Amino acid sequence: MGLKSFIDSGQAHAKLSGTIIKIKGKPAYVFNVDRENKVHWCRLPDKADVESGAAEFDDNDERIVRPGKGQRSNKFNSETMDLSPLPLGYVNLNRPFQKGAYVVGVHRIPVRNARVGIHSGNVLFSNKEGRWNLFFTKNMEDTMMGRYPSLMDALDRAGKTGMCAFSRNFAVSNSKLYHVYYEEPVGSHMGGRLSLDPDFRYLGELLAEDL
Amino acid sequence: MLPTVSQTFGVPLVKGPMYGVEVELEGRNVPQVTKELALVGWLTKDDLSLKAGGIEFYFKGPQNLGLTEEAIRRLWKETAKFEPMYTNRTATHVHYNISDLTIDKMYDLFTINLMFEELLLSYVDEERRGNMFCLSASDADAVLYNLIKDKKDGTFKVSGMFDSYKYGNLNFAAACKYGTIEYRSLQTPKHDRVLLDWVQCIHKINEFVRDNNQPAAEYIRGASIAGPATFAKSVLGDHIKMFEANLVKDLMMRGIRNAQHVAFTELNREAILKIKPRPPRAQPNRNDPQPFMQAFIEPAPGQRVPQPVRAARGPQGEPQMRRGNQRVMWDRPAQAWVPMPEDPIRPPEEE
Repeated sequence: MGLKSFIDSGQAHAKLSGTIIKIKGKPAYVFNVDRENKVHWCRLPDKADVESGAAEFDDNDERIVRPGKGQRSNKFNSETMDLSPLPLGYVNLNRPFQKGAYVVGVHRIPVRNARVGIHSGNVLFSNKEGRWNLFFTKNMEDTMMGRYPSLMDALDRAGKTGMCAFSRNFAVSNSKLYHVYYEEPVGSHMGGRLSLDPDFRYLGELLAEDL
Repeated sequence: MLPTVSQTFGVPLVKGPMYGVEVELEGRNVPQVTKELALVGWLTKDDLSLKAGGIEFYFKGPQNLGLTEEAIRRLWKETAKFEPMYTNRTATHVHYNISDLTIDKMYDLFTINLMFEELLLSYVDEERRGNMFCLSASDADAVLYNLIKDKKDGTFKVSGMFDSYKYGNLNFAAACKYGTIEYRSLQTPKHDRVLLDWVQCIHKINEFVRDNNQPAAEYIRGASIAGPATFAKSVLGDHIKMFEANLVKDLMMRGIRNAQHVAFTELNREAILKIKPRPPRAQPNRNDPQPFMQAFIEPAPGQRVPQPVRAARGPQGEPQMRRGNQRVMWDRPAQAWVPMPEDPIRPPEEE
């Protein structure tokens, strides 16, 4: 199967519904593709109910209709729909996660029989108590769009919450520097100056780019 | 000494640089290939992810580089007259044998493949990049996250969980099922030359690991000292011309960024040494009396060539479901039920 075409609307529904893809330049949740090849979607909600898992949807039932008729395969409007993989990494949360964590690393798994977009079945949380409904929010959108606070803002926020990410790869706590792939700290900071431990010096170039 | 991939996962032991190739083809006439041709060395099966007429050709068993190239040339030559279609649904997967490598060498091989992954992806069609069936380590970074944990803890989450990590561009999970590393990103090319170059490129990368006894971290250091483009050229030789010269440096840098996490993680040898070696599983039953290495010998005149088992298809070539063990027969007209004539009741014979 290609990136921008499906055999029929049934396949499009199977591969897209219930997942997050990029529509009109921003992440969106697709909840249905109907028989007329219309994609029903909504933006990610501002917040999700932690207890029940229910999300507050906007009543924003926009539709995308395929541009041309008489095509053999159903080509969706590639200018508005982007089916390429969305980048993930550290997600900053508004409220404490289990065990008080405000930051969780999210990674995509190349799982078999997966759907095109991001959904609960093809992501892995660095925190074992990861729950999908917590991430189905604007916080996830910020990660996908690469919107993070600056290092100084992250340090301020880490003073209050314990930890805050300033890029999809790096986060700071009160005195330590973390990388999204490692549980242990990879360095430390003092007065806004970051330093990497000798074992993780190879991350220097990546850190310089993220700052 | 650390156990081999074969001993760790219980896969059959195959020695040396051996290959397996899967080629998907679509086209109205393609199904006739299996009926009219005896493509010695290849088996076929229906692939339901393709449109009607889609067939997957795959090797009977592992072959060396020379026989692999010969088989590819023959397949393209023999199937050309059936007018196959090269669509964005069809792909080619190449397996490289790692069953004889020790676990530390397996990780070295994974690392160097991660270094070259982004460069290799620049060779394939745009539709195959970021495709959900062959996600790169940059797109699906749980591969990197868990490879680091695997090396540190002596576990095999990535190389031991086939269904979870199968759709990576570099399918490391094939190690636990076939004792191979699988390259999934290449489309089915129109010309066999593209696939032959691809296989030779894979050969060069992996032979570099087999020929060198250095740990993977040294490859990263070597690449940073010599420069990524120079390192790529020293590994690939003339095959570096397959890629756009002005992109090699940047693409190698991106690959090295991913690979360095795995390369600089210390392998937990103690945990791996505690793993009890498994006896190799039996060779897959191909329903074929020919040994693997004789697969390319032409059958003698009149010799019966076993036909592959094919999934049920309807009259228009659409896939059909089986009802339990009973297969729906489409090629026979329905027969009206005719009651058997009852035996006439005979009077008991008089004694």
